[in-house]
Amino acid sequence: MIYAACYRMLGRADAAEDATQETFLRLWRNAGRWRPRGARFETWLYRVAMNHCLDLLRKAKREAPEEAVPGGIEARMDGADRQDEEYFQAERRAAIDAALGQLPPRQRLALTLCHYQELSNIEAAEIMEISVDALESLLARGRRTLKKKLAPLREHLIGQMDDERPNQINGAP
Amino acid sequence: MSDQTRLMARLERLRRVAQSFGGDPVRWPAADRDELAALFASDESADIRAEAQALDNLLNEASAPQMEASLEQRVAAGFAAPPAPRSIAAWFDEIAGRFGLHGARLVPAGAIAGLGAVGLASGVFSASMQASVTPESEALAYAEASVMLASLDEEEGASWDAD
Repeated sequence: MIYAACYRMLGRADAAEDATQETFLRLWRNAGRWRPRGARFETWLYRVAMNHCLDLLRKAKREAPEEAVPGGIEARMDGADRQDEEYFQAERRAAIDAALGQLPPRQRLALTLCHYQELSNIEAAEIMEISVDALESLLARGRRTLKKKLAPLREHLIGQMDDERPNQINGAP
Repeated sequence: MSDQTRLMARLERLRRVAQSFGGDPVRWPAADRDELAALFASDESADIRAEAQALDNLLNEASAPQMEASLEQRVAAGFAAPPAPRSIAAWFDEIAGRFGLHGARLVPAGAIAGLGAVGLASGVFSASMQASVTPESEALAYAEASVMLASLDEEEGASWDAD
């Protein structure tokens, strides 16, 4: 779980591995500093890991400019045949990864915890040390930003959903 | 409040929840889930549903983490490095001495810590752990147990100190 969360935050396997190792080293060094106060150990571990990831992202932002989201994929997807599907999936994945990577770190963290790690809003808010309302706000802003950046892909996907399963959204008959 | 007004209010809340947590009710706040799930499946919320689920589907296409098996060993090696390798029993004795625990008290404390270590290991790593005690699993047990036993001496209501 820690590696997966670090990967979602940092976007690279090598960085996620380093962050995971660092998290457990900090756990080892600072085990005596954990104070229960009714919170779970898992929450604390996540907090150590995610704080470390936020630090790394802040440093990276200072050192490197942002990459642009690859563009033009949606236009080529419209004319793609089956043979091209794998290629376009990879390109689409790269576009999604880039859009996620450009989110402000705290929005990305909220999305990582709630969407990818599937933690409850209460658990995620505890890890981020913010209120549940503040978490909801971060999530809404993050998803709104992604929706704009990925609009062409999203519209393409909605079209696919309509074509493939009319009147059967969400498993309804 | 009329039925129409109530429906509009619930749709507005549904929109906010879907815009924040997406189109899968499993991810929604528990307080809203039951009340809004039925509305979410209805015709009135078709646009909310389509938008939220489309973005979810894109998010689910992002690159997935693939943890290398060697990471588990490297993390465990980090645990093992600072303290010299010792038996778990000797380690418990030392910790127990710190907190004034003696004799029979060690049994439940050790059992709890040992069970906690298994829980930590199985939760932290997606790869399965070996059933037998290895230097790596013992190191993980040290880490988890140190956290749990250290907490025995702390007063309630003390603060977190994550980093």
